[in-house]
Amino acid sequence: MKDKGFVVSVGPHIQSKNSVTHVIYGFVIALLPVIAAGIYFFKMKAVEIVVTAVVSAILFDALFQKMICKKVDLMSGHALLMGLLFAAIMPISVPWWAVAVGVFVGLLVGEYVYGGFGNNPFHPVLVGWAVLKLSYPSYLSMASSVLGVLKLEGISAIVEDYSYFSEAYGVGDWSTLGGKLKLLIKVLLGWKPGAWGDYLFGCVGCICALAILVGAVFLFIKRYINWYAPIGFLGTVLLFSLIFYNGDRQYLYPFILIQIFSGSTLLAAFFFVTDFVTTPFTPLGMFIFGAMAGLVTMLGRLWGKWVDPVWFAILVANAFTPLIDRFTRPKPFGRVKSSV
Amino acid sequence: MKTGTIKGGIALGIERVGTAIEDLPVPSKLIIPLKQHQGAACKAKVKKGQEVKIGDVLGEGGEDTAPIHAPVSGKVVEIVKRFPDLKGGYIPAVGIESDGKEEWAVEAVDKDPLSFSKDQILQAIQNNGIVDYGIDAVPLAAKFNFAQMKGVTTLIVNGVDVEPGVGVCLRLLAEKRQEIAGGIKIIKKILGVNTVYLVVENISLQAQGTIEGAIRGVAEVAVVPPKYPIGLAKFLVKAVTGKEVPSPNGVPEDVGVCVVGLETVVNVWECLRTNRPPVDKIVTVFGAVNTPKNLRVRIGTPLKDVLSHCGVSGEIGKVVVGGPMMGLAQYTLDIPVTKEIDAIFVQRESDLAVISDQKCINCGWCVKVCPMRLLPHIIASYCEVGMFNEAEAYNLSYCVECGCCAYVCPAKIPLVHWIKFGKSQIKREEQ
Repeated sequence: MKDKGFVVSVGPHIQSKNSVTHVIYGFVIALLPVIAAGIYFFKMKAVEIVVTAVVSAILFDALFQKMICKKVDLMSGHALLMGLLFAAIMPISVPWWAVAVGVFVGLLVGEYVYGGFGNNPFHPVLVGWAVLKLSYPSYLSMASSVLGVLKLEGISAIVEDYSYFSEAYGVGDWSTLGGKLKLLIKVLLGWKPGAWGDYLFGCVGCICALAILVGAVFLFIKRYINWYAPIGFLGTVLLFSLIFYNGDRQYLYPFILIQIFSGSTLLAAFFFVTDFVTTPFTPLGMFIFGAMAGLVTMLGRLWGKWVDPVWFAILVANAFTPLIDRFTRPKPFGRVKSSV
Repeated sequence: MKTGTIKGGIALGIERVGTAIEDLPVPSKLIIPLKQHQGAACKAKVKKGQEVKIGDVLGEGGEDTAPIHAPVSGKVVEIVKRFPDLKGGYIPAVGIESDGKEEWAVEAVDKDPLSFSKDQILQAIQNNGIVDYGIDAVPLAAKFNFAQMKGVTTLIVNGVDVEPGVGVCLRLLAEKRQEIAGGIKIIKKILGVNTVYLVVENISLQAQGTIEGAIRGVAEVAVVPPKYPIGLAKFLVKAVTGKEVPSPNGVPEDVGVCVVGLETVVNVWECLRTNRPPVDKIVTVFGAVNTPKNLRVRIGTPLKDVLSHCGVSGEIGKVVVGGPMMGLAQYTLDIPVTKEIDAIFVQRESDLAVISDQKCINCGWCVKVCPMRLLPHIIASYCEVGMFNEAEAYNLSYCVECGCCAYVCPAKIPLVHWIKFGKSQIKREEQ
């Protein structure tokens, strides 16, 4: 045993085992079922998008790190996560080169011009998405997804389609409790308006609500995300669909199901609204952020021209993050008036 | 039974060392620093070569310092002017070689401490050099005088070890119930208060029951969750009474509460009963030692004797006195056990905390755990780039340096380091 020469430093002398790399790989693992469901539903088209997104993300990430003279670190998992998230929000109508363009612009304009991971005010994946949406609107059109059909033909058309086709499977009437549960399960597994085996359209990562929930449960168990932002977001979506639904009352239940489980609502609630870098850091701030994103989403869905403005809504809320942080500063312990 | 908790903090999940308190053999040579609490150092009252007995005064200071007594009988072999202090810097110290006779300077008596008058008790506490034990030890008599001046109405006896893993209070609650009850009675008499809470952690229901029986009619048991840093005085007051001690410079006495440690209470009783000064300190030794133990150590025993008693295998990288979260890392094992040391935490080189220069990713985990409800990542970022006034605008000075933020930080940013740096720079600017 030596007598002298021990390490001296300030406390704490112990640390939690969680590191940024752990958290990033946690998100990657949580995304795996989501991506797997996308590949199950869309087969080779989804594989093409995922591979393009991941490969281009890793390549461009390395390139940009080299350009800003940082040590090129591909093991951090950051590029992998960005690629997977990007693939998850791409509709299957998008060509592979557009995916690469989106990843490139997203990483460059969304992240590296600000100095890299940790400094970006907007979510880089969503910046890439916004550029594609504005540059190639026809490839990213969501008009034939469930939400698109809802917008064009109304809820009654969808439900009638469902009843018509599902009778063949013995589902029958959905007005009973059992029927409602069956409808819920069908929506969770990836609902489409037409017959089973008929054409199916949606985003790679948004088609199967159940897979997203599985990923989210993993993140909650690992405590990488908390409930404040998802509750704010989903709560606002639910509230708006309850209050401002103006169709036939009997179709309210399927309407709410579609608003929450179809489209990108769930993916946004657990993977984008809970992002660390671009969202507020106080619990109240996270809730407000989620509510704000939900508000813009529902404004767009109910009265706007866009079919699914979730990503746009999050970008808008990202812009408000510094403001929210400023107004939700907690009151320090034991502050007395005279010391203000 | 009262319960309470605080916002923030973390459940670290480190089990407290629960072994029975064991006496450590007195080593042949002891070194006693002449400063064992906050404030000025004592002046040496002995000369080199002088024979001393246990309880002889080694050093004395003014009104606000507690005298220091010889913990062992033997010969003064050296008076060191510059001995390393555990908080950094140098202090005078007295080296004593033990003669192994264990002779006391004062005869043991068995009195009823409750028969003393208030002034007699305070005088005895001052003369016997009792401090409020812990890393921020203060002379107890001065503390009680201040509390009386402030007119406190509530006494909180802190039966919670602040640091994770430390089992001093846990063992005292199990082994010294009568002494605790007696000590509380004495302190009640001094302060003239009727509301007394003994705060314990809710880790063992059986222990709670027995302690409640032992102090029935003397104090009320208040139960808090095992959550770091609830054992700090500020947070105990909040958890038990709901009052917030004013920050950044307030003390519990400002809201009418006096917080006293459990070991202090026990020592007050023992000292008044026997009329002998306390010369032992109970410390928990844990971490990378072969057998973690709770030890009754003679004050002045160098750390190397304590560690070799517990057995250390392999290379140790860090020796921390006080505990893993707020403890002070020491560079040498010559440092002796003093009234300030509650625990000794040993780490292997492979277990050392790492730091990185990664950018903050704004996850907000530090905000969630901060018991002072600050924004540690913003304060630390400002300190890192030298913007201390901006850091102060985010209440830098409120920080109690508990280390919860740096513990949870996934980016491994040394938040406490930056905050301490900022505080020291602001102090320097003011001078």
